[in-house]
Amino acid sequence: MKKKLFVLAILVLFFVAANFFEKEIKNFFYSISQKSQIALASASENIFAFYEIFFKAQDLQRENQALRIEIQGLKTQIIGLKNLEEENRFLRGALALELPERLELLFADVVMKNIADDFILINKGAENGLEEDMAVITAEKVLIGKITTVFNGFSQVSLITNKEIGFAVDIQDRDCMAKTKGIGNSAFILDFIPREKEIFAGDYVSTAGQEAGLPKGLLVGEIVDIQKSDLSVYQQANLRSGFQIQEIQRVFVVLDY
Amino acid sequence: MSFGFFKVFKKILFFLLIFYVLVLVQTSFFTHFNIFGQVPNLILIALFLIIIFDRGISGFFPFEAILAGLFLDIFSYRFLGVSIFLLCLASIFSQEILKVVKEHSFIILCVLFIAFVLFYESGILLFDYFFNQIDFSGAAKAILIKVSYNLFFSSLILCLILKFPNALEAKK
Repeated sequence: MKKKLFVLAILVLFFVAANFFEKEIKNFFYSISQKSQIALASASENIFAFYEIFFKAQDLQRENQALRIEIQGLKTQIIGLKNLEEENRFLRGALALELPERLELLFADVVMKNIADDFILINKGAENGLEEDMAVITAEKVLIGKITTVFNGFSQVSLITNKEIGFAVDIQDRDCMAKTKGIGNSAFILDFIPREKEIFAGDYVSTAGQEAGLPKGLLVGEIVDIQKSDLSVYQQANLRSGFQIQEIQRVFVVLDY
Repeated sequence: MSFGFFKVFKKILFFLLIFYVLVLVQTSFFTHFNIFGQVPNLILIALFLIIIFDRGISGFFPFEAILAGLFLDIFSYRFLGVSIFLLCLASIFSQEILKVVKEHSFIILCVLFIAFVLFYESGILLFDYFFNQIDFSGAAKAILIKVSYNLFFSSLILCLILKFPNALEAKK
């Protein structure tokens, strides 16, 4: 037993030293595994879709109907917003104000999804100009997370549900700011909501643009339920994210805004 | 001597390949089949079965735990060595326990497996707490689901393997 523990101690020292090359070692394994992981993820998706057809047909039908109704409502909203956009552009021109800059985006494939630890791996890294704290979004400008580790050809993206991630958000139509807090296992909450503010389930939450790398106005999620306590000056709310991590294959990195 | 070295080298390559394939399946295929965000740790299950039923690379030290831990660390956000250290310790303790416990029934092996998984996951939790400032909220639920999900797979395989008691005799 003593000999084994001695060998273990030597190994620990060896691997502490090996961490000087941690990024190179990880980058090597990610690059040789990329194609296999994408193929396995695709196979998993196909099998899961097959399972859903048989066992969730009724749920899918109901969800489909609800989504059709929601789309109709959103189409009406879009018409109203387009009118507002035109008016906004006209007024900005008249007042000689600059139009808000568009996001500069870089497209990336998702190579690995570690749902238990709330992070994903994308196939763009330092050689593509990526840096830590850059935001990662879907094509619909829904915030997925931010880059926390950059390798040469890959980047680790911590999801908004990751316990290390928290950022300032605006609650739409409530004139209220709060802060998100990842609690792991694909869940996150809204904290520091002033107690006197009236918020409701179904309210949408977007980024406030206060942190470096996070532009304002990215959809974060929707409030599911609210917890108020007499003992606290703040209220909390459970959030539902605006994306399903299992369905995400491609993402965009916000390089500049 | 050269034949012995070749045999050890072949075993190292074999375990390298097994653990590499398992980590790819674990991190890519099982994404859709998660339970509350948890997927089975196939490497942990494979390592436990190797300790029980196979002599491994060397009877002296669980070198296969190094390979298993290496792949778990590479495909996680933690630095190299965390899983290696925890799995080596867990493997050493499991080997010592197996020497003391003469009867290797299904129940005893399941209990040992639960202890194996709990030891590893608790170690990871403590590491995250001290090095990544991640708190313990939701940890109990996550660990319970992990243990249950892993136990489901390992008990299925244990049931199959225990039908061949000669495998255990060879190990002894």
